[in-house]
Amino acid sequence: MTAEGSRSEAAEELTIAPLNIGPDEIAAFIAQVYDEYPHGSSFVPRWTGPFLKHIIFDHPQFTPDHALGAYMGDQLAGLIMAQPYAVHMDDRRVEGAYGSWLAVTPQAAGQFAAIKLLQELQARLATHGAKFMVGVAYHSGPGVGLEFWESYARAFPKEISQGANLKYWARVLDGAAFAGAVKDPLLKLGGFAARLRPVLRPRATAGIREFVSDDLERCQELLAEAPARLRTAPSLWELQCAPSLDQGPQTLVLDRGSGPDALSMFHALPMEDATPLRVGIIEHVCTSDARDRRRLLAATLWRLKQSGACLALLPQKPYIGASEMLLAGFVPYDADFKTFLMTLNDTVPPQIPAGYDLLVR
Amino acid sequence: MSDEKQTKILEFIRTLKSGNESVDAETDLIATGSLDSLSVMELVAFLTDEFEVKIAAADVTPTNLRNVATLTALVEARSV
Repeated sequence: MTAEGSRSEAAEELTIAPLNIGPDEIAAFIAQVYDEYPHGSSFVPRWTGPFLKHIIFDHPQFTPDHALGAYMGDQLAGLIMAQPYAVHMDDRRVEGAYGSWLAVTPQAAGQFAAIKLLQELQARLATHGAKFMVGVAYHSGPGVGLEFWESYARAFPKEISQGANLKYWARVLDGAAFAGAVKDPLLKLGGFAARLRPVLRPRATAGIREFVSDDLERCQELLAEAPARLRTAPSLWELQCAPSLDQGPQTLVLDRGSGPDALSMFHALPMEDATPLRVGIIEHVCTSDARDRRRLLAATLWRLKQSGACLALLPQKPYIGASEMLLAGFVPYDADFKTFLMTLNDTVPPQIPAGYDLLVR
Repeated sequence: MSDEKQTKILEFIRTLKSGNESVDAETDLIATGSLDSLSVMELVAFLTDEFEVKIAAADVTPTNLRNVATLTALVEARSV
């Protein structure tokens, strides 16, 4: 048999099936794949087994169809995963999924594994009642990040739409650690400069505490009131704090005695640039009161800093003014992030509305 | 018409990736690694625009993408 013949047969044999390895092995596989591609200009995420276990595998609505592998014979050649995720779309709650963690080994690049994984994931999620899948991509390496999703959207515009560029606010939490961990000279300089304005233990902490189950209804209302057409609609499980920041997202609330007036949802993600660094991702800060937001944000930043994060990122939201963020020590971070929406059901509008406030994982 | 389509498809595939310059009408595009996930999607976008056809993600199979002839057959099958 010729080498060409062998490769041709392998292409036919690629099968997609639920992953048969655990979260630790999945995290190691993703890291190995990311390292096999040249890294882009953004930080490379280093998912951990406990974090993936918590947000995906421990989710009450998780099924084996939420974590798929592409197999060449017995060999794992790629994977994709999704976590159950609901949104408010205008006035209705819609069940769907947040899809990400797409990783395909360079050896399988000619087998269309990425396309097959995505197709199969969408088909299987639809059988579980998911009406959409949403995801965020950025330049973390060719073939595994933004380039793939953008190409997919160009090829199949009816199946996937991309939202406007997603921009972030960035707050350096530990200037020295950040400067030492990044490659870019400007970021290094920014890290050193940030030492002049460190994140300090907040003084006004009265009423700020971790989410408890009695907060559910009010927290869901706060998220539903966000002035955006498409916004996160979390369940009790998603609002509950993971055992630690290392294991999953946390929720803080500001409660003056009559229930939460504000909430923040955040997690910490190990990443790598010149050296490993820990980045805090603030997913949501919900309140209509700017002063409450400042207090809660200060408490959230402090928690992240205490956990060893040296940088915090917060997606820019149209209803939070730039002056407020600049006063809080944030600076605009314009790396190329994009949100993608795949509709799995024709009751969901095929385009991402201009105003959205979605999860970022 | 089919010959014209074949020629256009072949010319486009030759521009897709370095190393594709020597691709001809009989080349097995899968076996030679002339297409990967990214270039396949560029190819689908090209076919959709150039021949005004609707190609679904489910059409992206090794059988349909095997060579220029199978791609031409796909375009003709999906012509509206």
